[in-house]
Amino acid sequence: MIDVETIRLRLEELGVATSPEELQELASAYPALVAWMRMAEELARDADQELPE
Amino acid sequence: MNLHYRSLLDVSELMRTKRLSPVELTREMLERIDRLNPSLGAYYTVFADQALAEARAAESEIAGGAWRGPLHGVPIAFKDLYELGPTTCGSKLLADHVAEREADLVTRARVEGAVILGKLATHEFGLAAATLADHFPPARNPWDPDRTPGGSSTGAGTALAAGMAFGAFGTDTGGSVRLPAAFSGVVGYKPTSGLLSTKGVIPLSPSLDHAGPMARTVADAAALASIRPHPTLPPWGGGEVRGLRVGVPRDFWDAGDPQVREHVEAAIRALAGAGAAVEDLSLGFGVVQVMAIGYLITLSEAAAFHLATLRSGRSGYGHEFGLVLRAGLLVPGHSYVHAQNARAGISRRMTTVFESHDVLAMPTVGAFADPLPAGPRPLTRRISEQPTPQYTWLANLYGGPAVSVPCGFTSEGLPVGLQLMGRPGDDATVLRAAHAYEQAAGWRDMHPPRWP
Repeated sequence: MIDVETIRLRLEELGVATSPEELQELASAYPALVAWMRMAEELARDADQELPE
Repeated sequence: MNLHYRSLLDVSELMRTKRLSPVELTREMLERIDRLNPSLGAYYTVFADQALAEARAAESEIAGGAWRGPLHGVPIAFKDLYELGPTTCGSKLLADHVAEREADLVTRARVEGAVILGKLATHEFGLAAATLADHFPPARNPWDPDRTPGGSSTGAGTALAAGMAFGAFGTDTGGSVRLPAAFSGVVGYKPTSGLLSTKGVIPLSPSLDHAGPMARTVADAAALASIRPHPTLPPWGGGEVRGLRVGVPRDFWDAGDPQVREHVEAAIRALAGAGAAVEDLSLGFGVVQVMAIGYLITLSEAAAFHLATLRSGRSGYGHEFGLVLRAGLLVPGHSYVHAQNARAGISRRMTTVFESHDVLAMPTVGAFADPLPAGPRPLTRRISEQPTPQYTWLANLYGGPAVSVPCGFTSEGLPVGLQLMGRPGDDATVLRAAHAYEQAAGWRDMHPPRWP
């Protein structure tokens, strides 16, 4: 889904240094973070405005 | 009963009627803190000299007939996220920080004549779970000192449960007043959003942050909440619940420890026995969804607040807090917007729910106090699709009042909390229901046997 290097680059773009151990932990937790994002999207569906068909 | 376990309003009345000296009471508190704090770690900072000076001033004013109100001469304390003297936020990063101003609620407590004992332990910046390896030793649960008192207002839970303060102000972004109340066997009250000022409180997630009182009784917590600058809390009266419409959203709290469920079910039966009209209802969403939305907002807002410091490379953030901030930076903008939109949808649903119900009843948290970890927990414990169910986040999302009140003990002798939630602005009804249950149940008279 996302690898350690991608996370490192994203944080580096923001100027935030991250150790290899921290990157590994972030990569391990990332799938759950994505699951949260999907839950939010799903629950927001009624509230979000969508383009008409 | 020992003086240190009396309620805030009891000692207040004794002082108002000049049967108890504020100076003697403060001395007893300071002596008890001096004796217990090395074992329990509730306080980071104790203002001994200043507290005695405040107590002497209160004594003189009360003797002269100038009683200011229920907090006059009463020893209370503040979580170390409130700007007041040394303000560390539980972080090595701010270990030497001394606030240049005072939080609104601190100023207001002074106006009310309260005696401020000190600053209370907290999870780092109100989020990262305390561990035995932290820069500041963690507060310990008086019911079992090898366990957490719950957080993030850890020191407040400990201090109140062990009789080291008569009231405290914590903060609550997703449950940080109510969770330690549940784990420590005391009362935590998150008022309606905006009722108590958060000015001068170091933020975690500004759109969810609340200030909230903690105490040993519901009436004490309500008295603490009455110090806000513009009183809008109506008199909440006695404990009558006859006819109160209590909704039980079992689809929302179908997870969690069976012992917790058992005690909460018994508490709900007690409310019904006292005359409340109890009925099941469905919210249409679950606790994991609510926690996901709450955490996405919190992580994003905390990351935005701390980004400049993170970027500067300044050292001092603890392991878990540094990781959750970085996780927050990985949440894209559209996900934050989805989370806020979902929050708006939940708020609309709750408006509908409270058209036909006065309060909702549920556990505060579907677990009891964990052992204090030796070192930082893995990030996957915090960011998880199967988190420990914290039923507290819901009230932060829709902004309504919520109270956690003790409702029993597990077979391990650890407290369990019942949570009552209400419609925004109707704090009085929630307090009334919680007070009624508290009076009927009698748990308020239980104190940790190790600290008589």
